[in-house]
Amino acid sequence: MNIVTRIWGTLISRPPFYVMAIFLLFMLLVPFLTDDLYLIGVLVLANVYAIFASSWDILSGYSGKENFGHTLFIGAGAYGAAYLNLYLGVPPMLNLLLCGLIGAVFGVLIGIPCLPLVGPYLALATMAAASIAERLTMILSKYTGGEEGLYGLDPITDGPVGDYYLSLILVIITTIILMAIGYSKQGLILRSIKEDETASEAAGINTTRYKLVAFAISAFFAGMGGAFYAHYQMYTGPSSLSIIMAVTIIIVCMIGGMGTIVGPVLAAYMLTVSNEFLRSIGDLRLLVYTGLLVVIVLFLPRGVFTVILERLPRFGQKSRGV
Amino acid sequence: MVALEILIYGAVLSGIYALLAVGFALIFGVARVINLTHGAFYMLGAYITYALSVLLNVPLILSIIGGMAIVFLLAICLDRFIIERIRTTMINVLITTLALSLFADQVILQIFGPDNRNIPAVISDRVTLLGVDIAGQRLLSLIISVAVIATLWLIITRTRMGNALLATAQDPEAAQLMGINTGRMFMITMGIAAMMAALAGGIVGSFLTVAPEMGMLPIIKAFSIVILGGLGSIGGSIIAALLIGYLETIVAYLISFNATELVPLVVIFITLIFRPAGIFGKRRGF
Amino acid sequence: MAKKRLHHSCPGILMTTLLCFFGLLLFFNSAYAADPVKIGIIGPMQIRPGIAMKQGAMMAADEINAKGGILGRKIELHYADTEFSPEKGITALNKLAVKDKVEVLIGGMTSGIVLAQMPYLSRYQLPFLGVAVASSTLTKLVKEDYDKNKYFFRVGILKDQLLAFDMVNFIANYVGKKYGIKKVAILLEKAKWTEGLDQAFTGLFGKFGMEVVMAEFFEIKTNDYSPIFSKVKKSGAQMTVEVHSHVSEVFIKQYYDQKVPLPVGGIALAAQSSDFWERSGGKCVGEFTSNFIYRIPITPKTIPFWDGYVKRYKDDPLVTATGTYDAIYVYKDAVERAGSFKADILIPALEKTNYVAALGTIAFEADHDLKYGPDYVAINWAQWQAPGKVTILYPEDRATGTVQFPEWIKLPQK
Repeated sequence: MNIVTRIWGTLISRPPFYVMAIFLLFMLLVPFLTDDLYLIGVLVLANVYAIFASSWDILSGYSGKENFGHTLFIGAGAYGAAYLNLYLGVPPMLNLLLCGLIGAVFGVLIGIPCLPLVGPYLALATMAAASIAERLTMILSKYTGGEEGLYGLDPITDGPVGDYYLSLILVIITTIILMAIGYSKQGLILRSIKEDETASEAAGINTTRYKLVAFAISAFFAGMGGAFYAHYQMYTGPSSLSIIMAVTIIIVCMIGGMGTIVGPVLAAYMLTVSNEFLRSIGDLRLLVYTGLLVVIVLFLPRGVFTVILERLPRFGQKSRGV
Repeated sequence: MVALEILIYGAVLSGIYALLAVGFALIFGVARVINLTHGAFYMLGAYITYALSVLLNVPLILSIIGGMAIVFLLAICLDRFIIERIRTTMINVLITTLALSLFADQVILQIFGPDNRNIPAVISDRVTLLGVDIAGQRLLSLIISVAVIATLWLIITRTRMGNALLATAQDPEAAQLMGINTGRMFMITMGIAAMMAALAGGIVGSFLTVAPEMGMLPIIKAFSIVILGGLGSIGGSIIAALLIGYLETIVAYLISFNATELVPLVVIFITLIFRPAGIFGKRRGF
Repeated sequence: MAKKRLHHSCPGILMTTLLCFFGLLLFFNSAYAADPVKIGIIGPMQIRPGIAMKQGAMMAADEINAKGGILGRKIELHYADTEFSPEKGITALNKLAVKDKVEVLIGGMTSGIVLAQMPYLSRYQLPFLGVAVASSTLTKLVKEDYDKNKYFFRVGILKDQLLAFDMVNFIANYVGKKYGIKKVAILLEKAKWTEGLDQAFTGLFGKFGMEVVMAEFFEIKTNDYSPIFSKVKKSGAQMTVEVHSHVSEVFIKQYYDQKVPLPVGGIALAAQSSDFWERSGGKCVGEFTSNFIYRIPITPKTIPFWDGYVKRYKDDPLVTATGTYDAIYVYKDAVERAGSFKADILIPALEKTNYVAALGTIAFEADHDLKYGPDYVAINWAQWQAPGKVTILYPEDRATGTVQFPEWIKLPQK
């Protein structure tokens, strides 16, 4: 009983928590509200992007270490899933976990050398790492399918609604874990790194350890998302490693509001659905879409949802932190 | 024979890289801004030159100058109305300029369509230099790069404006106190750099191609070269351009044609890790 | 504490956002008319081959609709852009199948994208008439797992091995014989459909008594070909054979610039378009090119199609335009013979196709591959000549001129 009240108390006292809970509950109902399988398909894509964006956010949004090569982890998961499934017959569900671990390994491998880097140096180093992986898929085309990728992966569920629920469950798991981390000591220290790394170090915090853990967590969920995406599409290719995709993820986070987890998740839905919606205007779609991005980034640099979340009330809370 | 080919083709490649990278480095050095629309300026330069010379029959040289002028104005507007607002946050500048260049790609796609275009060469003859056959235009691009960069160097080191630029680069606040209008310096730098990118776009059109997405790869390369050379160091970026240009050419000739793009990336990654300030950077930019 | 009350409006903002989201969802649920037959055109719609698909499709649809449609149903075309990526190709296919509810897919380019789309065809039970896909893997899949993959038919072009055979035949029996060329260098783009073609070429050229002295793959987005051309110059080859389906302006421009003294040509999709001369700045002079149709009477339908297309679009038809145009007619023919639009009844009818189209006579092998030969579909070989015209050379009974090489091309001493 005590634990239930505590969770309830935490939930309603923090706007990001209850907004997320309401939103995800609503998303659970979507298949009952519509039988449009195309819309469901679009929302699966949104779910995938929500995982990619929130996993980017836990590292970069929190600590201010902007990773321009998040696709390296996604691609590691996607290609990992393809190899494990095609050559070893590993079932898709198990692949989600295994490829999350593969992602995490890449996260640590990239994290270690990149730890001391900041700003544009980190941006370029991570971008270079992802590009190296992308080039390698071209050069080793015999094993990776080159430009055209690997196809014929097992589907992960038997239909769009199954895919939808599975991906939504992954989003729910991911956000619960990431938000818990975000509000824990780990999250707090990452934020302090963003504010002033030297001061954090001076306060006796081993920032290196926390940053490395953040890299691993971020990469784990990215790898898991990549594996889901590969099985969902029954295909994976170099576009899962492209810089454009990495940048798209950053734009999603920026529009949603970095360092909030909720913001990037909501922005992933907003952008995926509006991008699809814009199809009705035909050829001008990308023109309008990129134009909108510029406007939002320019006028709401802190994110659309941060502004809203900050103004929502906190329920049933004593004057903590005031 | 192979050595001579590497020497000449490497120089040509490095020349174009340098033309793009020096402008990029200049913007960073003076205005502390990583401007990813630089690639879009290169692309716009090429398209404006194409539109003027092929569609409107303006003489080629004038078309290139026209392209540079229009891009110069665009860059000044960009600085005045957009960069100015967000100058202080690196990530905002990166993403905004990137989003803008994606937008520019789409605008061009809508106007000109997806087909590749060709710009006629200023020098359409092919020449044989030291036994190596090469398009005259390619050689010209090298000569222009060297001339433009040398002129820029002279302007920076010998003129009053150059001094003001250098002062702004070293310490904007102190420069402001000394009566230098730093906002104007930022704008001028942006304009000059964009003009250099447009020039590069106008002259490569005859031996590469003109397409909406043509700016993407060069900007990533310029970014890499500038970091490799030490952010903000113009001399460093020239040397880094030579390094990358020759590295790519040597890999292509001697190792594998397909590893051309890979080797420089690996070099950049390793350099960043072991020497984040770049080869010639004395201090980190951040 | 008092601050709480100040922000009563904020849940309102959130609700508005959610409501907008609801609104967007509802937008997707629009009603569909059941009457016309919906045909999905799928391809890289932003680039020239995709635009040509669209144009070929519109021309066929207008002609058929003017004569009453297919079994009384008017054609309604729907388009989806694969953006030249397998990933987007899957999204595009889903859009056509689920949102537009099309009954057949026509288009496809290139093989890698269609391979990624294949599993979805059986999911939606959608026949797919492939227009610009050459990989033999596609029809091999039909053979290996018929029930799952029977939905795919290759209509617009021949499979990779036949393309290769036809090209080697032209080079050996025409160019080779005429000018004493024995050694060739082959440059291929890296893609699914060129996979293994280097080996195939070595074998094929061997059969014709020729030798492949160099075979190299290059990446589609290559910007600087000088190293590879310099290697060609030194390889001892007497001719350069090119194989690519993407942009090839940069390739041919730099080939000219570097004065490679060898004849060049092969399969180059971009070189087929009528404005390639202008787009390459005239640097494609002397390049051998091919197309399935030119303005010659291959069948009684070829010239009327060509003239109609040129009149309507002020442009020569690309291979993808012809393929899409013919594919719609092949579909119409099969539906009318089957008396049904249902995939299961339609597919056996499609298999029995023997239809005289603009491309030639279209018929299928057991594995749904396009039949090859002078009586079915064959390739015509031609050359770009100054001042920007295409001269047909081979088969010789269709020739409109003779070979002309630019003066720096060195031919072997006979």
